[in-house]
Amino acid sequence: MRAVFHAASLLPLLWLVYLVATGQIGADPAERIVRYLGLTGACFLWACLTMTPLRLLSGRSVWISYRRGLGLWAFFYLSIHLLSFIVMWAGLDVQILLEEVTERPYVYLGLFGWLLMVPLAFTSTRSARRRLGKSWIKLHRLIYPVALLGLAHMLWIAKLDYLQVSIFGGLLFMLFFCRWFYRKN
Amino acid sequence: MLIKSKDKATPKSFEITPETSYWSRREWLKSAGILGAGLAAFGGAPLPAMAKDQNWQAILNDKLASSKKWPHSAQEELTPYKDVISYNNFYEFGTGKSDPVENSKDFKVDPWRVQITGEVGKPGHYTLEDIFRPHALEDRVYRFRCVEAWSMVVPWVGFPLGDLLKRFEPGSKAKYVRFETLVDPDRFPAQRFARSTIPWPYVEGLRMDEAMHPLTLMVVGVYGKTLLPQNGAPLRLMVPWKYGFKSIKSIVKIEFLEQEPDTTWQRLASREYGFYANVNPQVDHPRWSQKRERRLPNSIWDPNWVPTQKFNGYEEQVAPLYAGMNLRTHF
Repeated sequence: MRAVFHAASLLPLLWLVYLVATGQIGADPAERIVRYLGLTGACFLWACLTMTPLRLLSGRSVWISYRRGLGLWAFFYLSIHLLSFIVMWAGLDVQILLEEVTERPYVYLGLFGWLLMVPLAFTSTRSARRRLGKSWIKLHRLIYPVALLGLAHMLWIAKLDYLQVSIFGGLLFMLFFCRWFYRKN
Repeated sequence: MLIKSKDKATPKSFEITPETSYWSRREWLKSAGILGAGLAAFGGAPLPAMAKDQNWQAILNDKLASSKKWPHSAQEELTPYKDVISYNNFYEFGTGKSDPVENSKDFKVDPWRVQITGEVGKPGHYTLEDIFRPHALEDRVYRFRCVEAWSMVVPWVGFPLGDLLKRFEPGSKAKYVRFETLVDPDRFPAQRFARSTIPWPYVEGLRMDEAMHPLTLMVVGVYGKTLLPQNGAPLRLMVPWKYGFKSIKSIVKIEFLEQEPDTTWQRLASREYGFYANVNPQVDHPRWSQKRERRLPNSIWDPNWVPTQKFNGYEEQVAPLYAGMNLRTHF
């Protein structure tokens, strides 16, 4: 089951490699790749956030066993998203990168979100969880600001297709509502 | 040169199909397409508009074959044809860059009329033949700069818009020209959705002096061939010193106005897209930089950034149009 899950999580990347290898990536590959990886990472992040509400709704804890995997895959895709932005989109041009990071909210919001994910990824192991005890839960609540930053990042780059942002925003709202509702009762 | 010659160019009143029967005719043609074509081939009396509409392509082919090279073309390397026809922004076909090529396969130009209206001496509904017949075509290589910070170098074929507009005899009150793209959910799939992000029709506009400027081109072809639907067939503008969205595609209406018209992108986000939309590296889009552009096609190893030029490199020709204007407020 675990192997199937990880293989399936790798499919979006394989699809992208296939598009590049067969020359179907279009006239502006960097832009397309960066956007594709960002969207894929967001999907994993949102899926990760869905696991706890699913457990609450279904009363079955099996969902939670996928939470860590989904979170790590989100981190993986968002890391190569950032990497492709630096290497492919900015072409490793220091001046372009500096300008984008300091002047463009979409870049620093996204970068900040990714930075917040780093400690979560590094403390995702069982031993780290045991070592950190109660503060592990506190630390991992950072996933909520990460999601909000991701949403702002998406909103900032949308030109007209606010449909995607609305879907992600709507889902996030529902997930938050679900947690709040169960906590209240 | 007189275009409203009663015998030939002007669609006679019986030829202008009312909208309702136009729709039913399209439905009927779908089911009996072969029969319809057969009738037309026999000089089919029932479809005069269709027979006339088929003329334009033959005439255009002749004109494309004899088009002249414009001496002032951009000297940069051309963006390959395959990229010009497969990487497009044309929201009538969808918002993705490959939506236009994928969703335009069934697009049929015929029947096509261009309505000329407003402060003008010769209003009316004109066929494509009426529109381009008197004009010699030119091959012009222009830089094309999208507001999204990518650019291409494209060999368009067309004729100066000003030459066309003059034939309709604009009145003294005509200070602006407003253009509309076709609305037809049958041909533009993205117009089918009730919840569309754009209020159709797509509208663009130019000040009269911009419209009459010799660089402003009415485009009917690209790379020596007839314009494909994804590039704005059968008629589109090319205003090379402005961001791409000003160069409206698939034009069905040209209106002469005294007041500055509201344009689509202004209506959607007036803070981000202005009426002028002149390419200007000194005035950033509120959310991204306009200092540079990715010249397409690029590769995964090199985004091919090049510096953006003021007025897209046409400063010498067009800067006088904006003398004394604050380009930061009139962006």
